Amino acid sequence: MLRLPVIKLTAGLQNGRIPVARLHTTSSKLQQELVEVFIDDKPVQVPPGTTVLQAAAKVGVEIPRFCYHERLAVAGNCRMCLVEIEKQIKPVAACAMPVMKGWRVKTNSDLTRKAREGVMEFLLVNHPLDCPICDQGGECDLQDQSMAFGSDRSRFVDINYTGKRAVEDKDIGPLIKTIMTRCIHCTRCIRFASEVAGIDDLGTTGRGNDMQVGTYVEKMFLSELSGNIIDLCPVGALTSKPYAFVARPWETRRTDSIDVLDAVGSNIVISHRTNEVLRILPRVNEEINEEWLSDKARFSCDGLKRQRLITPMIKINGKLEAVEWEDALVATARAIQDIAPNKCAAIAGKLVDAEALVALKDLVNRLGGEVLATEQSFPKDGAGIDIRSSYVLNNTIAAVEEADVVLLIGTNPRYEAPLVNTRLRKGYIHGEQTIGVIGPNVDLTYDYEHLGQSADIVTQLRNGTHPFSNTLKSAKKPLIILGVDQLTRKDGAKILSETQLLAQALGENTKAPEEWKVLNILHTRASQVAALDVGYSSTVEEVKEQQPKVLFLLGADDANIKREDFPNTCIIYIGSHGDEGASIADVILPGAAYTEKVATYVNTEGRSQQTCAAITPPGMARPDWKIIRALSEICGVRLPYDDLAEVRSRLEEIAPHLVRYGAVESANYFAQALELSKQVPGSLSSNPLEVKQETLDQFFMTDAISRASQTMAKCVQAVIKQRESNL
Amino acid sequence: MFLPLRVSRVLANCKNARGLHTSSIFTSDQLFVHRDSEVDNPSIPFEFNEANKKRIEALLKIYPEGHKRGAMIPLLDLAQRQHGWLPISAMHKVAEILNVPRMRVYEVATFYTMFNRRPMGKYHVQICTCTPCWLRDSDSIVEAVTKATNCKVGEISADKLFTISEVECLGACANAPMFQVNDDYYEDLTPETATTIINALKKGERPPPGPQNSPRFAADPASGLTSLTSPPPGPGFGVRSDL
Repeated sequence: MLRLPVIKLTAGLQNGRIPVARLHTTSSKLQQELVEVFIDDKPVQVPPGTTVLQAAAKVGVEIPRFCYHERLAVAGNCRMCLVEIEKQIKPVAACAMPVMKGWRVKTNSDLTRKAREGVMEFLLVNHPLDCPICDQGGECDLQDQSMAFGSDRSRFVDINYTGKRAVEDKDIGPLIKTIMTRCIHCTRCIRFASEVAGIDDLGTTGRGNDMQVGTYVEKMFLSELSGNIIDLCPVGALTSKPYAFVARPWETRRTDSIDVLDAVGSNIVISHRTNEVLRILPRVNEEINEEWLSDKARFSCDGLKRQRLITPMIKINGKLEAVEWEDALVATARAIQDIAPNKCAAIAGKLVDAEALVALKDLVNRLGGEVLATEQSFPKDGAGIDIRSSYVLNNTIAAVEEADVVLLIGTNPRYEAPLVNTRLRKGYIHGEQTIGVIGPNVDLTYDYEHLGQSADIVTQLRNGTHPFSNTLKSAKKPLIILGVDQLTRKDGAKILSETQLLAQALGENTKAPEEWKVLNILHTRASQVAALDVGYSSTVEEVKEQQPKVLFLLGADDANIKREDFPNTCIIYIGSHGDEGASIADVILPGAAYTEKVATYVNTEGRSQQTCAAITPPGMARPDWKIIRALSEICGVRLPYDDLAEVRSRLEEIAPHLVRYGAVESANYFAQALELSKQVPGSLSSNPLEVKQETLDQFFMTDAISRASQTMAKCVQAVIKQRESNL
Repeated sequence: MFLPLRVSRVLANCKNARGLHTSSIFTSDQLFVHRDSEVDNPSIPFEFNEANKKRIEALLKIYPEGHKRGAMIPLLDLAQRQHGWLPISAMHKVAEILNVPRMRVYEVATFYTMFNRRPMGKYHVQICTCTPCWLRDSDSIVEAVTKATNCKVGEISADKLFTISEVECLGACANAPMFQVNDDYYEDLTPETATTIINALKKGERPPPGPQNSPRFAADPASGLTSLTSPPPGPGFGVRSDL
C-alpha cells in the first residue's frame, strides 16, 4: 500500500536527495531549473520541490522540529517548524512546504519565535514534568527545544496535576519501555515501523484529546530493528528497557566503534562508564547502516559482562582450573613442543579480528602447520578463495537499493543482515524493485516472487526456461545476492559456479554501468571476509581428518566442533566467552571482546573498518594477538611484531586493503573466477536450499556474545510467546 | 527564615504569570485500547453472511485496484450492522478482505465514534443534548428514556434491548428535542412521547419516525407556513410576453 507514486515522490524528496535512478536522466535538466530562495536574507539555489526546511539546512540554518525526520515521510503534525515567509499572513510548516521562487524565509523573526513559543506551550500542556525521572533527560529534543525556543515562564498553575492527559503504557516487548503519557504524537515511530521496518503494528487510536500512539491490542513489536524507534522518539515515551535508569548521557563516555555481530559492520557508538559498556547506539554511515542498527547489535551488550573468561585455565584431572598467565603459556608451549610438521591446526570463529587471524596464521605456519580453517567452510573447487570477487558483496551495500531486479539465493537478509534488508525494502518501496527469492518462503517485510527452493532454478534462470528469467534479462541493473550458508553444502562449489555463470550472463546482457557488479555474496560472520582474505582456506572437516596434535580454537564456538572428533588433540581456546569452544578446551587463554580492543574487521562488502577499545578487558584477559605473540615467544618461534603498528604493517604485507580503513577494496577478475568455476565437477543436489534463521526468535542468539546476553534470551522468549498468541 | 522569602517570591512571580483557567479535560468514555473479554476476543470467529458478502463484492468494485482500502469504512459499517456492534474479529476480517495491516483497521474503527466497539442493545438510543435541544429541555427526555428503559446513559439495559448515549448535535435542531434510535430520527419529543416510543420498541414495534405529537411533516414551522403559502407558479412565470 505504501508503494504508491505520490508517496514515492514525497519520500524521495524528503530524503534530501533525488532518487539516484532519476538523477542520471534528469540531473542536467534539474540544474537549469534551480529556484532561488532567501533564508534569513541568505540566498540559496535549490531544486524545485525542496522544502523550506531542507533549503534552510543547506545554508546551515536549523529549524526546530519534532515530527520531521529526513529518512521518514513528512507528517507535518507537530507544527514546531513554523516559520514566517515574507508577504504571507500566516506562518507555514517548513517541513512540508515546498519553496517557491524568490521566497524570503525568516527563521528568527518575531512571528516565528512567537509561533514556536505557542507550539511549545501547547506541547507542554499535556507533557508530564517528570524530567528528573525520565531516561531521555539530557538527550531529549523536547527539553532542548523548550530551553531554546520555549517561554521563560509557565502559565501552568495546576499544582495538583489534575489537568494533564494520562495515557496507559503499552507492553511492546522486552526491549522498549513505553511511558505513553510523555508522547507528543510526532508519529515518527509509526512511520519508521511502516516504512523502514515493514511491521505495521504501530498506529494511532482514538481521536482528539483521546488520541494515543500504540498497538491497540497487546502485542510485541516484532521487528529486528525495533530499537531504532528509541532513537527516533524525540521525548521519553519510548526508551530502552535494558538501559532504564542506568546512566545519564553526560556521565558516560562515548567511543566510536563498529559492530561485529553480523557481517554488515554497522557503525556504532559505545557508551561506557567506569569500565562497563552501558549501551550501544548507531553512528551515521551512509554507505553502511545509514543511521539504523539491528536489535542484536544494540541490545546484546549485556552479554559482554556475562560468561566472560577472566583468567587463563588449564584442564587438571579433567577439570578446568584457573591459573596464572605464565603457567598457562608454559603448559601450552609444552604441548606444542617438538610438534611434528603439519600436526598443528587452527579454527577461527565468527567474531575474530584480522590482527588475531594473522598472528595465529603466522604462529601455526611457523610450527609447521598448514591447516587454517574457518568455522564456516568455503568451497575450494573452482577459484576458491583465490579470487576475491567470489566471496564478497561486490556491489556494496548502499548500491543494493539502486538495483531494479534482485535475486536472493538461499539467504534471509532480514535476519542475516537486517541493514541490507532495509536497503532492499527501500528499493522496493521507492524504486519499484522486483525481488525474486530462491529458498524458503520467509517474511522479508516486502513482497517478492518466490521462485522455489531448489538449487537448479539458478540453472533454469540462465537457460531461460524459468518464467522469472525474462524479468531478470530485461533488468537494467540486476543484482544477485547469494547467501554464504549455501556454500557450506556439499554442492556449494557448484551453486557458486552456477550463480557466477548466471551473473555473467546477466552482466553481458544488460546495459548497466561498468562498475555495476551483479554477483554478490552475503556473509553472516564478521570475521569471515578477513579470514578468507588472509588465507584461512580449510574447513572444519579437513581439520577433523588431519587429527592435529595441537588445535587452536580462535573464538570458535560452533556447535559442530566436538571433543569426540579430537580424542588425542590438545585444544587451546583463545576467546572472550565461556561458550561451546571453551567447554571442550584443555587450555583456555582469555581474550578481549570487540569493545575492548583496537581491531580490524572486514565486512561483507570487503570494507575494512576498525573497532576502538572503549574499555579494558576484564580480569586477566588480553587482546588476542598479544596472547598469540606471547605464546610464540615461549614456544621459541617469536613473531616479529611487538605493537599494534607492527602487526598492522604485517597485515599490510599480506593484504594491503586490510589497513585502508573505511574504504571498500573492490574485487575484480570476475571472468577468471568464472573460467575456474566452470571446471567445478559434480552436479547440484536436489536438497532444497535452507537458511539458518527463518523466524525472529532465531535471529537474537547467534554467537558467543548474544548467547550470553540476558536481554537476547528475553527477546527469544517474548517472540515465542507472541507466536502463540492469535494477534 | 527561608519561608517568608519564598512566599514573597511566589507572590512576586504571580504578578507576571497570567493564570490559565482550565476546566477539567473532557475525555471519551470509550477505551482506545483493546481488552479481551468473553464477548470480544480474537478467537471468536466472525464471518460475513451471504447477503453481506454480495454487498462487499459490489462495494469493492467501486474502488480501483490499489485503492481497495477505501472500502474500509463501508465494510466496517456492514460488519457492525450484521453483528450489532464491532468486535475485534470483525476488524480482523475486514483487514483480511482488504489485505491491509490490522492496525490500519483499528485506527479507523477507533477514530469514528459511530463504530461501537463494545456490545450494544438492540436499539441504540442517541439523545441529543447539544445546546438547541437542551434549551428545549432535552434533560427531561433523558430522564424519561432512562426511566422507561431502566438503563443509565452509556449503559446497556438488562434485557439487552437498549443502549442510551448522550450525543452532540444530530442536525435536527428545528425539531428539538430529538433522539435517534438506530437509523430513525424521532423529533419534537416530549417526555410522554419519548416513553411511548420506548414502550413501543419494547413490544417489537417500529413507531413511525419523524416529528411526534406535531402537525408538521418535517422541519416546517409548527404554527403553519408563514411564507411560500401559495402554490408555486408554473413555467413561463415572469417571462416577457413577447418572448
